[in-house]
Amino acid sequence: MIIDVASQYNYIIASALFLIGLYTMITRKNLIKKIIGLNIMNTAVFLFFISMGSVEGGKAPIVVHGSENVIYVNPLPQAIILTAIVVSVSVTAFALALTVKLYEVYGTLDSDRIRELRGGPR
Amino acid sequence: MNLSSHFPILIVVVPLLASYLMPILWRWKKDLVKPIAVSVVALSFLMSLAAAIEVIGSGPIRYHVGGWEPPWGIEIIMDHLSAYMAIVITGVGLLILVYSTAYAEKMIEKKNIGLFFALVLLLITGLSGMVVAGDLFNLFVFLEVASIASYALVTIAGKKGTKGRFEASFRYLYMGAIAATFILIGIGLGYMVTGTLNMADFALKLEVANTIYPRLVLASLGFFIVGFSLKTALFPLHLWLPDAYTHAPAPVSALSSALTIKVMAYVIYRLFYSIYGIQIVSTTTILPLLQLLAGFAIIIGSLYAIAQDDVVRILAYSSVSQIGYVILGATLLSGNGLAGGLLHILHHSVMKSTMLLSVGAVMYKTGKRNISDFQGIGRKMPFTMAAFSIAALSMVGIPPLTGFVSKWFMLLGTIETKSYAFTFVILASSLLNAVYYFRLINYIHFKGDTKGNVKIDEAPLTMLIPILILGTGAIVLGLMAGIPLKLIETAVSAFGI
Repeated sequence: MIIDVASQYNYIIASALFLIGLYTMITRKNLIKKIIGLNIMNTAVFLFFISMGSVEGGKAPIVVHGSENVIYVNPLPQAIILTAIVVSVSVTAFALALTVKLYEVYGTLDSDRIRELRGGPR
Repeated sequence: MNLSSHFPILIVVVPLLASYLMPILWRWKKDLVKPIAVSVVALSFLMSLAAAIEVIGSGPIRYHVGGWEPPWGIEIIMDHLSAYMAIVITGVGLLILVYSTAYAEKMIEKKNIGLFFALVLLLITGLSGMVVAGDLFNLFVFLEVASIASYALVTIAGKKGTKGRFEASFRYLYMGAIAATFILIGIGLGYMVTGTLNMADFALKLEVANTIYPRLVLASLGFFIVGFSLKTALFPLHLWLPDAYTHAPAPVSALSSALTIKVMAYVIYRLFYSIYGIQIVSTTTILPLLQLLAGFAIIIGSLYAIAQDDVVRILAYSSVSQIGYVILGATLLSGNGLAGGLLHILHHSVMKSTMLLSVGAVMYKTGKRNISDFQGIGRKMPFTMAAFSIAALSMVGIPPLTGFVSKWFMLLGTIETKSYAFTFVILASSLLNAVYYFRLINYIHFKGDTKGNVKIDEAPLTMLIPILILGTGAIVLGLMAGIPLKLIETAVSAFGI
């Protein structure tokens, strides 16, 4: 049982990273740290996908003529993650741009302080 | 192959290509930006109508991108439900876009107008891509296209833009990014047990997978539902919505309320009944849980709306409450309940965009939107406010109007499934709606004249006409609910209920 769980260590690490990221996003007040948390969370998902598609002893999925008996890793999760990385980069870029704007307007990166300065329910 | 067989993909591709032209055209030939933006969405609307007619005539269209056969290739599916949603998105989107051509001129900074139209077109692309996507991963990609466009649209404010818009957008982004990660994990878990991403294939393989890995299937559904509940602003996860609407320009809040959150709710319907299927969903605890949250959303959203003084915030909390109806429809396992929920997608988007655009027109003229600033505005802007009042009455559920029809179907659904608590919730919420909408109508029409001696008249025709069309829609769609129901009933029967 324990060995079964331990052999799946990739999923355990991915879950741990995911929770670390989520915890950082929720508890940290600094906007940059929130964005770092977001990236850790995304990385956890990338790890989850890539390790899911891996096959022990698998080669990169490029078919060469005359190589019928080669084991390949699953290319689909890799293709998905390539796209997900692009999405994650653009979200991060936009979040950082917003952070620059927030710093210009409020002069602080502390989310509680920003809420105070903003004042009221608006 | 004739051109009409490519309509399902062209609905998505045409606005996508046009959106990248917008910033370039804004630098090069400013006059072309608005006509091109409007005509592109009009073209998409016509193509959606043509596709819908074909779907009604000869069944769902399956389009294979690049000629690759599924489950390997990318599949675009235009069935009754997608056709219905595509018409709602492009139709309401077209009217909002026409409105924004005049609105942007005055309310949005000149250098940003090109970007504004680019983002609006991207949002429409993303949303229509989501409804025609035939596989889960394309759904995710289009979801992110739509989401990033809407985060950015919140920050595009006018010359009088409030500083708070950056914080509102950051919070929206922050919650949206968490939701997107949850959805991606849902896709991953689903892929692990089925080995496919094509929705039809996924649904087939899930039946077997559910007998071997019931917990993984449940977990993937759970991740999906949490993610999409966040995106659709279902009650405890609605925190991003009121701020985003408060700071966004009026057409943007209208697009978001009428289309973005509706499409996210549509995905929940798809997940429940087309992908996971009623056998799996009805045995999980997700359904009663979501039903409970929808009930809370309906009541608490209305209670919050009563407490607001800013008209846009009243409408924003009202959206939180109305999305509760749409989700409640998804959780009632009865044909009438589902039809009511789906019909409410169209009806609410017509009603709420009428109201948000009317408030935008008042903002355009006076720059104010506190409830006390609306005193006597009904005499100064009679047409706009007539449309607003019709939409408000419709929202309360006065019989021949649209809001009544969808609520009626949902009431029938709650009675059929013997969930009488929700019958009560729907009725009680109509009363609560009456409290805040009658308060608004009272201020607008019966509270005496406007304060001060300001000259206010109707907004320009390009803004007034979309408002009037949508306002008339709130009456006409109520009387002729049979036409959208044609599509919806076939969709619901395809759900297997």
